[in-house]
Amino acid sequence: MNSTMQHLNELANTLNLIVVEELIVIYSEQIEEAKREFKKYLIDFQADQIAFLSHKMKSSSRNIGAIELAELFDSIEKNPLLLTEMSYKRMLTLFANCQTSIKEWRLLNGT
Amino acid sequence: MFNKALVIDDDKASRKLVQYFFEKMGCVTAEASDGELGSLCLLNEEQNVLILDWRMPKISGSETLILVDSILRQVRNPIIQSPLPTILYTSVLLDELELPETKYFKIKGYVHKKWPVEIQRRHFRRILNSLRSLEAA
Repeated sequence: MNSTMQHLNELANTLNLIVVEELIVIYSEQIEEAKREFKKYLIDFQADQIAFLSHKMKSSSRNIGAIELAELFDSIEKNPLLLTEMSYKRMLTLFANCQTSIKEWRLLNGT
Repeated sequence: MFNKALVIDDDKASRKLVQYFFEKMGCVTAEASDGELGSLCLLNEEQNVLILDWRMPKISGSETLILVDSILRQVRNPIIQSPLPTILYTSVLLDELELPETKYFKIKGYVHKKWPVEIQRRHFRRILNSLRSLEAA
């Protein structure tokens, strides 16, 4: 079991399945928005906006247990110049892995 | 009755989490997604406790407190009569926070977003219980 699934289990113990499911839906929406925004910033570089979005996504990723994503956003928040084509591709890969973990967790918990 | 909580946070998931905690503790919650909307809530409706994010777009948590405080100082009959207990809910480290001097807000707690959710829940509960005890006394 990976860190995201473990974290979702811990959340479900503290909260309940309905709230965890709501948090997952919110995070899934944020992922789609972040993909679009970061892609935009690759072309139109805006350090403050990149740092701010990274800060927001860092918190959200941590909330859901996506630790690698949280670490990536932490590094970009501290240095927006680290947002490159390569780091963006890594972000997309980590998003996809996270969504797979979420899908597996949902299957296991019947949500 | 100490049961009205306002959550100001630009992160929807964080608002959801905090609202869940406070509703479980018998509170009625309201939410605002930024400092400007939060200021309007503070100026228009009485609250018993404020849960405030520090790093937000437009105006930060600190600027929100300063803005509302400065408006209330000019009002003849302010909606906030005694300093509103405020809990900071942020991923900014406590040492790094520069807390403003205000008349209408009193920082009564700090919960770090990086803490495990169960620890966050316990801290919110402890702070709320302490506020309720103070009010009862």
